[in-house]
Amino acid sequence: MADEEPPEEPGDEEPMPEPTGTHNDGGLVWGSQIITIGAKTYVADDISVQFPVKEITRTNENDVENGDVLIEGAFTGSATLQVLNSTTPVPPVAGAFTITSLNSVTLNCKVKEPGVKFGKGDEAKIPITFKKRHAGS
Amino acid sequence: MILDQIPGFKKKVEAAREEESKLRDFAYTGLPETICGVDVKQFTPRHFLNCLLAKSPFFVGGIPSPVDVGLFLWIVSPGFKPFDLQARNEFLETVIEVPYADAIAEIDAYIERAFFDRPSGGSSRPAVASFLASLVHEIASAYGWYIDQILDAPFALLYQQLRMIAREEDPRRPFPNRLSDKVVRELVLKHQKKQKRIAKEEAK
Repeated sequence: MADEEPPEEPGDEEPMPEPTGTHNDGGLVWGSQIITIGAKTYVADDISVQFPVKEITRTNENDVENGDVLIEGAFTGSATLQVLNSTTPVPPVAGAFTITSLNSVTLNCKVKEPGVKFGKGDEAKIPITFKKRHAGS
Repeated sequence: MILDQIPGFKKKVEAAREEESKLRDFAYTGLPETICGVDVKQFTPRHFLNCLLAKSPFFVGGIPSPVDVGLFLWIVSPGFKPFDLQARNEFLETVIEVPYADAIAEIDAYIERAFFDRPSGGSSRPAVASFLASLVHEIASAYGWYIDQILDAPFALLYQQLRMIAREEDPRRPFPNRLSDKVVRELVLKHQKKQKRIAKEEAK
């Protein structure tokens, strides 16, 4: 990248409509995000997050359910990281970062399984899985 | 930060993706391309081998001469016949007016398009066979195509099929998209630079 900042182009400031066929109704995430792990910046694509729920049911003597408890588990997810320059390394296990939902909820995450870097130089991508980063961790 | 919040992000990335899509679709049309107005076939492994045999500077290094440009155009032309010197010389006469500098630039772009989806990286172990052997092996193993079909198929098509084969083996495997990834990278870096500048001005 040249040090010179490219000039703003006409249309840069125009808000873009949602692409046809997408319906974000307070959905968790859509599109790509800039994330920072350590001091390194990545672009995270294909973000997918799952919120597991454990269900405990109570039944009567005829095995008919008459009560339950739903326990929220720690979320897990996956993403594809695009590196922004050739020196960006594969992120470390437990590397902390945040992602933001479209309704502006910030999720604290940590890398669970960093994958292999595919590609080379500035054209590299890294698949990762991640999970919830607990307070204090 | 969600990238769509960067002004103009979607528009520019979508435009780059559309360009990539056109480039990729074209490989399957079987249509010719043109270099400086000269009709040429899409670049295939067979063309590549002929370029190597001709020691074409476009592949073996060095500065191409006008004759090298003419020979390259001959090798990728629809009328190419190996060892037919008369046909070659007749062809070279038809391209003598092709502007040299433009031809170099267009040939480079033609080659870049052919290798757009090339696999990156490579083994650090010494090669045990031609890289075309690996290409033929992958495609033939997956699809049962004959060697001549593979050698005469455009690289741009073969590399896309290799991606499909790799994705089937590992559905989570990511692939670089050389145009749109570059646009994303440049927009993000530009945005970061702008944010830093704003922060600096605010701190003053």
